[in-house]
Amino acid sequence: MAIGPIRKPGIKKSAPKTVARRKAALKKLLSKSHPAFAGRLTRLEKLCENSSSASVCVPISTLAPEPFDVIKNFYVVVQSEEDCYVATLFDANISSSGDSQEEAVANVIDLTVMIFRSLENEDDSKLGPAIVRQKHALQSLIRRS
Amino acid sequence: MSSGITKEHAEKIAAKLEAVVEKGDKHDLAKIYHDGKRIAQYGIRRGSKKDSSHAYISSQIFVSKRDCLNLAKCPLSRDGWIEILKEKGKIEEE
Repeated sequence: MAIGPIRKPGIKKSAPKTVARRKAALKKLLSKSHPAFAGRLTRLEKLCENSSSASVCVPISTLAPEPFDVIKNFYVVVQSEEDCYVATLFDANISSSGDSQEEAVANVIDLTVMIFRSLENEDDSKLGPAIVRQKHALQSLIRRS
Repeated sequence: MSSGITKEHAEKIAAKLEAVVEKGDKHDLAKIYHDGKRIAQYGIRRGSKKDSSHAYISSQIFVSKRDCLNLAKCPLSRDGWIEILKEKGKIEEE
């Protein structure tokens, strides 16, 4: 069952234009009565706008329960893209996606382990330059327990 | 629903680039070979919907999103893609 936004009974939801007008009027009042607060409010609004599209850096220090150790902590960068989140291990050029940031990170870790397993016994002579770089980058970050 | 590169596109690209697909728990790994060498690879999320976004694939195969969609939708061939990779130094000239 889909759950809609919770509204108090008897209170009508205002149209976006009305909300924007009321917000502007309130800000005008605030800037007259408390100019310092109005400035802070504007800065906070900008921060909120930026944070929804900003990248998030997630430190990875363990691959448990996978039987691999992290040699040195590495970072996965999560970015909002289209209608999903894309997580990338830039050191090894490995990306995956998910419906949430957590899912995207879990997916890129799963794919990283899968690629490591697939490359660990592969001879460099059978790999193109980009994949050789990927293999060596992975070997500098993780190893079998 | 995604407006860009979807799982369906990812699967079409794998077929077009004659990728060898290795099955995993959460991903299938599409491994692409040229002259007997593995030159690129990317993960396709298992269990996700056909229209789920796989926007990250373009960077994994070293092309723009437009070229990635062109691979899926036809205008760009495997040979055309190989040429792009040679220009970018991602594979060695024979």
